[in-house]
Formats: sequence, C-alpha cells, structure tokens
Amino acid sequence: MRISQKVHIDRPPADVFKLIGDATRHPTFLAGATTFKPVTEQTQGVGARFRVLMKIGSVEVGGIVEINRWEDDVVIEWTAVQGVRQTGRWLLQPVDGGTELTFELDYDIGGGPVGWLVERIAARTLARNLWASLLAARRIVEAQE
Amino acid sequence: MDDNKVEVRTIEPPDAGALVRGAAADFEARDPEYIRNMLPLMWLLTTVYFRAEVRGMDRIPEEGPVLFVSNHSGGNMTPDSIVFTLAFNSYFGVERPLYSLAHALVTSWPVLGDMAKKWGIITAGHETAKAAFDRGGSVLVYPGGDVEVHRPYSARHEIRFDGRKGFLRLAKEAGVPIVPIVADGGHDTYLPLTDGRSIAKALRLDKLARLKVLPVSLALPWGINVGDFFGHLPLPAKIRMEVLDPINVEARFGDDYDAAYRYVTGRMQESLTALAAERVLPPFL
Repeated sequence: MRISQKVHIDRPPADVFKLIGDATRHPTFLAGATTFKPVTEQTQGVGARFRVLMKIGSVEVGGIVEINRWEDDVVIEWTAVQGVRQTGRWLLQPVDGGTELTFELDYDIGGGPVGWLVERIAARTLARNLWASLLAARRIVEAQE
Repeated sequence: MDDNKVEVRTIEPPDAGALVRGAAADFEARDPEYIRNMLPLMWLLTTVYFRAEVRGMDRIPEEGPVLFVSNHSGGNMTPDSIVFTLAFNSYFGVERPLYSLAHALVTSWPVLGDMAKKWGIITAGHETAKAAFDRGGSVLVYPGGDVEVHRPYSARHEIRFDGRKGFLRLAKEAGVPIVPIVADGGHDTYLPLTDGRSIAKALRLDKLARLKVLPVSLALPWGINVGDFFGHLPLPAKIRMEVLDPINVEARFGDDYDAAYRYVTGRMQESLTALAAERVLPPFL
C-alpha cells in the first residue's frame, strides 16, 4: 500500500529542509504521531534511527526506522528495522522559486486478504495525518521571514 | 536417528529441569512472522468489534524483560488477551518476545494448542516463566486464573487474584519489574451467573484438572453454558485498558509478599474502578 501526498511551499528547498531535516522539530508538525524520538545519538544523515508511533484505531502502531538516504535540500528516505514493514521519503523539488514537498509512504502489514482490508482502512487515518503534517509544515516554513 | 531421540526423551526423569527443557520447545514455537500476519485480524477485532481503548503503553520499560500482571474477564473467550497482545506487538514490534502463561489445558489442545504456542503462549509454571526471562522475553500472567475469569457478573469490576502471590516471588527472584495491566469490559461479553466453586470442589475438579471452578453462564450460541469448555461467541462490549507504572517488588517490599500483594491489587483496583466509571450503558455503544 502506498500513500503519496504533496504540497507547494512558497520558500526555496533550503528553507524547507531546515525543518524537515531537523528531528527535534518533527513533533511540531508531524500530525497523529504519539511518539517520535531518536534512538541513536546521531539524528541526521544515513544511519540515524527513530522510534515512530501513530495511533491507528485502538492501538499505537509503528516501529524503529533507519535513514538510508540523505541528500541535503533534496531527499530523506527511511526503512523499517523493527515493527511495521515500511519505507518512506520526504522529497523536495524546486518549483517556481518555491518547493514542492512530497511525502511518500509504502507499508505492508501482511495478513493476506484481512491485511489487505486493514491496510485500506488504516490508509484513511494515515492519509489524513500526513495531509495535516504537510499543511503544518507549510504553515511553519512560510511563517519564517 | 529420530527413534533414538524419542528413546532418550522417554527415560528422562520428570524433574524441574526436564520441564524447562520441554518448555524450550514452546519458546522456539513462538513465530514472529505468524504473529505479524495475524495482527490485522486482531486489529479488526480490537478496533471494530471491541472498540478498545488502550492507555499508558509508554509506561512499559523500552528494553529488557518485564512481568505483566493483569486481570482478565469474559470466561474462556477473554478479549483482554487479544487486546493486549495486539497493543504490545503493534507498539514494540513482533521482534520483542512476549510470552503468555496459560493453563495446561490451553497448550495441550490438539490444533488450538499449536496455534497458541505460535503466539508465544506457554504452560504456566515458575521455572518456565524464569526461562522466558532468561531468554530476554517478557511474560504476561493472569494470577487470578480460572477463579477470576469466571467470577460472577456481580463481581465484574473486581480484581480477584484469589490470594495468589506466586507472581511476586517470580518477579523478585528473576529481578524483573512488575507492570500491572488493568482491563474492564470483558464481563459484558456474556452473562456469568455463578463460578460454581463448591460444585467444582465436590466433583474434585481441582485434583483432576487443576480447575477450581465450574462456571454457569448465559452465552451465545449455547444459551445456558456450563463449564464454558467449548468457549462461546463474545458480545461486542467495549474494552478499556490501562497500563500502570512499573513496580520493583524487591526494592519496595523486600520479602513482605503480603504487603506487595495488597499494593499491587490495590493499585489495580483503583484503576479498574476508574475505568468502570467510564462505562456507558448498554456496553455495546
């Protein structure tokens, strides 16, 4: 299952990356996350690991993800090392002097036909949270002078 | 070669060591990929059918073995284990081993017993639980056992551990913290009338099968349900669950198991009473 959403931000990628690339600021815009914290001393660049949980239905779901691709002002990509199987990425593309910020998430919860159904039910909550996160990120970045 | 193995096993004396070695097979039987694939179904049951609320998962120590001590309700179809197993595996990932202690009748069922073992359900016992801790696993125990899970409906908001203190000695000897889990709502999934303790005693079920009760309930699809041996269809009552702060038995109570017992059950009762106050009628809303 893949969820992909994007938003246009009226600031250059370098400004957007200051927010997206700073783990300490993620709790300020990541909607629906009940936990977001580094589990390694390193919090930037390839190899940094984070524990991320989101409330989906009755329970908090997630795991530990590791950054496996990091290009300043361009992309941050991660993959799960524990918990729900997932990969995801923040993509920053310069457009018209601003930035097109894309969030992509691929996840696989297994479980055959029931899992297929649950992935789609969960996608509603996920998509709502990710959209809220993108809007929050835009608001925060554009508020800067 | 296989024949030889069988022969060697049959001449082993039935001491505690053999019990632990036998249980080792059960530890290996826990299958994280099987659990991963079952979680979506558990999620549907928990979220859609029981509309569970789980609070305080962040109070669980993030690493190392823990002894989860919980109350449970709902007869042999207790929703509490489904909800907690899902919550734990979603929160920490299937990679963190959780073993649940169950009555030997559960693990010895022909087909269901094997499924239970894949979930990490092991036959209850002091040595087995310690072996689980030694392997870095956490253990979930329901000290109240059959006496609590089959208690009558009038006692539905009651922690009933029946004076059993073995879990305290286990935590102290293994040096692991106790994390209490409190659940309310399970007894609204059917209508238990009596736990039939005196009948069970008269029939010597305790000596025959370690059963202290012979419960009688109204339950689907049976109507009058004696014994609940074949389970029943639980009604979709709402389940509320809370994880309490960890308790270090040795540091706080030393050898005074009576005081520790009063403290743990008292803290759990406080939480259960608070959860029960949130209940709305009918409990299926």
